[in-house]
Amino acid sequence: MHASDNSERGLFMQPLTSKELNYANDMLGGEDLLIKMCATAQTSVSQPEVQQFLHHVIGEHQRRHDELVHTLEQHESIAH
Amino acid sequence: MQTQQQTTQLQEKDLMHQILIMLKHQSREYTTAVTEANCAQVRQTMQRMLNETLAEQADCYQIMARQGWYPSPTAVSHQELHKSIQSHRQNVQMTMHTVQAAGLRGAMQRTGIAGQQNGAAQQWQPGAVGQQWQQPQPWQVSQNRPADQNPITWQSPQAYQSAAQGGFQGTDQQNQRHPQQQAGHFQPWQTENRYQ
Repeated sequence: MHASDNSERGLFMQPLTSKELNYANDMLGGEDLLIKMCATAQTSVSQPEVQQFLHHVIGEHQRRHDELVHTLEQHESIAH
Repeated sequence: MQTQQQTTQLQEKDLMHQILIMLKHQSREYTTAVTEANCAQVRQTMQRMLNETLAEQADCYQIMARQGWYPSPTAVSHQELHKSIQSHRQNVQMTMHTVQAAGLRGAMQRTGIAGQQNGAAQQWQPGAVGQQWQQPQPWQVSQNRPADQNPITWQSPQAYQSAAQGGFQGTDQQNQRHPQQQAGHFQPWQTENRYQ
């Protein structure tokens, strides 16, 4: 279940432009890098506050990564 | 032993700094993606993710500031602030003259078009174009969407509402967070007095 299924459902979906695909790819790369960075950092931090923050954001980046892939999948059906 | 502790702390600080920089970069990238989007759905998705990333960046900064990992910002002097305010007030007066002059010309042009609408200009509705996208048009695929499936309005989780205290109240749709975060469970890094 993705957030986009509800909040962005009412919007008209247009075929994805190459520009949009490029940005989506960049965003996916960024989210992926952040997951790796946060996961690496989590192994070497000692402060509980920092550890909990990192644990939380890893989940957030994974969710956004999934959602971005889902957005691309949604556009797959209307692509020429 | 002390040296080892210092090294550990430095690494921790550096890692958080790296993440903060990356979050700032990602926010800028999302902003560009929003402004360059053609599809309304893509735009709204990117905009929501931008707001989520910004909230995360703020959390990251607050943790770093609390740990003393970020140089404390220097407060501006009263004199400096006063000088800026005075300067901007003067600019406002100059702008008002320009606006008034343009307004007069605008009224003349309107009466010139055979007095249509009694010279009253039609008011621009902010976001009207965006709203049109949401209303299914005959040429839209989404017209077959059942009427009861209107977009659901998200509720901000309490944890992030407390974060907005004393500052921006994120109540508009773009700033509302994912429903799965609504658990509202208290995070140690989301203290009530974080922005105080």
